[in-house]
Amino acid sequence: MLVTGASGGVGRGIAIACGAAGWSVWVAARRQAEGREVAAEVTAAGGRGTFVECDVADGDSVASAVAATVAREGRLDGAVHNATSGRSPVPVVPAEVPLDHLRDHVVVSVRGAYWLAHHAYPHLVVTRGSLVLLTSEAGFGGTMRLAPYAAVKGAVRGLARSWAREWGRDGVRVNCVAPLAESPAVTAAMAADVTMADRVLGRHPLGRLGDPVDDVGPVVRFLLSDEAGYVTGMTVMVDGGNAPVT
Amino acid sequence: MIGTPAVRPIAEGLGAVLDELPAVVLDPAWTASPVIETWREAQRSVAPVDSLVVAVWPETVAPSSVVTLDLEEWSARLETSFALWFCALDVACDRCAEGGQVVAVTERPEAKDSAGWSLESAVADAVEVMVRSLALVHRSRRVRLHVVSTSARVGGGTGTPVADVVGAVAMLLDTDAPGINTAVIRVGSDS
Repeated sequence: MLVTGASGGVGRGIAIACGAAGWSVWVAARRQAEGREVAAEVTAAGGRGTFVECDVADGDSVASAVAATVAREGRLDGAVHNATSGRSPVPVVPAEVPLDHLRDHVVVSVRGAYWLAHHAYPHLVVTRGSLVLLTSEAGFGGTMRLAPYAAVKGAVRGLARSWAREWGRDGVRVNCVAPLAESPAVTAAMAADVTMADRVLGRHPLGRLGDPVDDVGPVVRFLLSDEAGYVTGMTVMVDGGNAPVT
Repeated sequence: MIGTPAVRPIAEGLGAVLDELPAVVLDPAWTASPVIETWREAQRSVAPVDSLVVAVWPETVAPSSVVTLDLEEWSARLETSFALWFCALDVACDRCAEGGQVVAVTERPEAKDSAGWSLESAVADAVEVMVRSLALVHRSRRVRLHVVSTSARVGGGTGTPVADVVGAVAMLLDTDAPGINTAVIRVGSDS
């Protein structure tokens, strides 16, 4: 299986959790050094980690990453779109968001999902595989300071809901996961907005952020696995019960 | 009302003036985005009003498959709508007087009939989140935002867009209920 944006944070956690199940995991990311480190962590966890350079904003790059995975493995059982814009944790006022910044959010999160779906689908049909898209609590309730990020995460949920209906008869499942976890992006967001930690954790049922490897990764692994063969079109909240969605 | 030409019948049904969004189609590089930026800036100096309705609807809609859709069409349809919605809602909140209301009218496929309508589903979900974010941003000015959605032209829809929408929007704008914020009303929906 292949994970985009896997050179750190939640993507790293997903890759390592899948490696712990003995899976072959392709760590797709732009950052080579960090990506190779995560691939090594996947192998150390019991799987087989391979780094592949991938810019999700570039269709040819995504096509190459998928093709490399299939060429080596002979199949693609699962794909995960985790990559988000580097601007994701930067607080903004909506009226001051220039369109080139908005485009960056859209191109990485939403167009990146399109490219991964577009190129992975023919292979997922063969394996009756699974696609998982990472969204966020923000993709439900919005946020005051991260409106572009929240909006693209909402869009991703809409894509998954429709693709699940579209691809279900082909045996391909599509789900979203909405994590709330420790990551460089969350750390950066909390550093940029001193009120965020209290807002996020002040009324949190468990009073802590999730761990990408131990809390988020296993849920994504479940959705990718045959054990989740009857689960599609869902957004699974992996946020310690924080969002009052269900 | 701020919107695209396709929603003129809704503006007429509401008895509102339609301020048309710029007629742009974004390519993958968003080359035309300065046109949107120019419109956005020009709107900052427009006199405030008590309420605004926003609807960014394409002239025509058709189902599509992401498997066969090319990037040009993806950008032209999904990314253009996304960018216009973001700017139109932002402008509407700015133009809305303190204590006023903004209603976004979206096209949302019925969930059970959304196969082939992923672009429209994505935009509809994004708009609901934009509305919730902007409601938080403008809470201090007591500006409230709501969503009315219809599936009349998209997956699973029945009825007519104008009939679906006008009554629901009018209800939200007329109601004397300042405690209601970020309401989402799905008109004509069976799911």
